[in-house]
Amino acid sequence: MSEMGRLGGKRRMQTLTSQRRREIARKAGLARWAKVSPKTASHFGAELGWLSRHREEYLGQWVALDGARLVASGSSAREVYLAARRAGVMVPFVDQVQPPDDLPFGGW
Amino acid sequence: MAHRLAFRQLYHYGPATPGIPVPVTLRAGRESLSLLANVDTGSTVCIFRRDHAEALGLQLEHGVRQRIRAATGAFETFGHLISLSVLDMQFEALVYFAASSEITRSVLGRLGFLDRVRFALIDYDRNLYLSAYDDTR
Repeated sequence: MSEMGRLGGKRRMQTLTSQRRREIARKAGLARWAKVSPKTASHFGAELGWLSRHREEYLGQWVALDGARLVASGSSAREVYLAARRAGVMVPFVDQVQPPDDLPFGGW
Repeated sequence: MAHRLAFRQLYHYGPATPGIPVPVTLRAGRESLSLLANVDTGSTVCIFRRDHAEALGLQLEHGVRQRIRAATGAFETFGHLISLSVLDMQFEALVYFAASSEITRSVLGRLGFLDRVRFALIDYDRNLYLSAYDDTR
């Protein structure tokens, strides 16, 4: 049985040690397991968590986030961006809170 | 015959979204903001929302006018030369902003992104591997 088969699928991959993950990646022969920058690996995790938790509350609105902190909300991206800059957030995460996708996206 | 590739970064895009979203920062002059854009290997160019252009203070219609063909028709965009950061890589690139606010997807396509990087995807694990094209370390 293959290495992946013995592991029983992708979900179990997440519980493996980093050393074991590197071994598996090496044996797969597709790519070296790259060193992950902690900053990169967690990038936008806080923002995505906030969006998930507050989706119903802010549905349709534009929000500016600084990590998991809501800095501004409103009806336009420009408005919330400027509010975030005034609040001292130099690179805010700016997004419109959308309903969960109920249809798969077919590309352009 | 096996082919081996090495990458500088591994980004795990998680199970919560239907696309392949990656963190992007757009900079125009002194203005910058972050957003999520989906990698789309079928898109010739990088396309962002009109609202993000407006947030950055860009005069959208002063850009390079370009119609984009899509599966069900075509839509208007305007190209602007901006700084595009994806994970920890930064490029100067001509990217396109939709003229209509009805276009609510942002995508990273070939010109301006995929043609600047080495890229691999193992969607089964939701892992995206990335290096600058000329990063040979």
